[in-house]
Amino acid sequence: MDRKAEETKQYMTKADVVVIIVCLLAAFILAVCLWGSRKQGKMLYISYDGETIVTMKLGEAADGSKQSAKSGEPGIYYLITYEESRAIPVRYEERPDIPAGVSYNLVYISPEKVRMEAADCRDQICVYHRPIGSGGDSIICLPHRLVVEITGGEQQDAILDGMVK
Amino acid sequence: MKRTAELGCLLAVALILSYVESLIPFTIGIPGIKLGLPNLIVLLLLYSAKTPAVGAREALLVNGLRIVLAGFLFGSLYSILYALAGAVFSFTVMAAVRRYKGLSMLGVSVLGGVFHNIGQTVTAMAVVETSAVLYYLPILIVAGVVTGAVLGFSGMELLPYFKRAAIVRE
Repeated sequence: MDRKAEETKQYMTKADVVVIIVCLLAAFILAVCLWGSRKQGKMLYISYDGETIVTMKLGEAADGSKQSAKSGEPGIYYLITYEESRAIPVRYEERPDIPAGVSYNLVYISPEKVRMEAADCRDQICVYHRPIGSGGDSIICLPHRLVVEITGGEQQDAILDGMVK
Repeated sequence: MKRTAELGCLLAVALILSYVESLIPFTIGIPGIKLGLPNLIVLLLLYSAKTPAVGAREALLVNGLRIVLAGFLFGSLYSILYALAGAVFSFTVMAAVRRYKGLSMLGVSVLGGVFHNIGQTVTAMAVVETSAVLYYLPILIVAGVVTGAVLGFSGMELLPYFKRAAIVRE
């Protein structure tokens, strides 16, 4: 290489390194946002008599990160009370007191698990139902015509969960 | 007139690089990852011309023709569309940041690679009408950085010879 060529040769600069690091960082942040949200992309639906009354992202249940007295898990509660063939859902960050004289279902929701905490239905099948957490799972309270359902997420989760238990 | 002939030669080289690239089977499971060898010519043109503006014009001309020709020779109408989308993004960014003296060819090439893949992702989203392809974007950005760096290093090594070969008169 002659002298002229030596002069025109380019060398890596600090700005190059900055550009590379910024690009990789952007990729990493994007990956966390996109792939993280896909994992928590499971949706929770609560419906009464075929009508959806609560829709939420399962991952959002961690926002009200109060501790459940029963399991020590972070999660929220939905108290559904029934009045004149209407279901009224109310969200609580902590376990609410059970109302007297009203028909109700109390659902506990955390990003990993959803369970029927309490209900005054006659068979209590929904309360004894194992906690659900995978796409396609549901808890049904037939006497109250209430369905708690999870959709989305990877189907494999169900198989894995089943094996762990 | 001499310049026209030189650019013609470079177009031929770029076409050969396109062909070489179409021969390399890049199947890592993710569609759209490739080296981008022809971009080497674009880089060298951007950097070897008398002024950045002239370099940008010549690179645009050669690359535009290369994409259309390579598309008809080795690809399909869709591959032309995707290549154009990537090239528009990548070229605009490279021509813009090339004027910034702090960056060497390496940084310019990396940004070119990254924006090429961003451009193709955006096009794919528009064509397929789904945002699912977005999930590939982080991988494609990393791939753009890697391939851009490889080409940038090659370009830095080649530039002195490129200039000395009288392809560009000082």
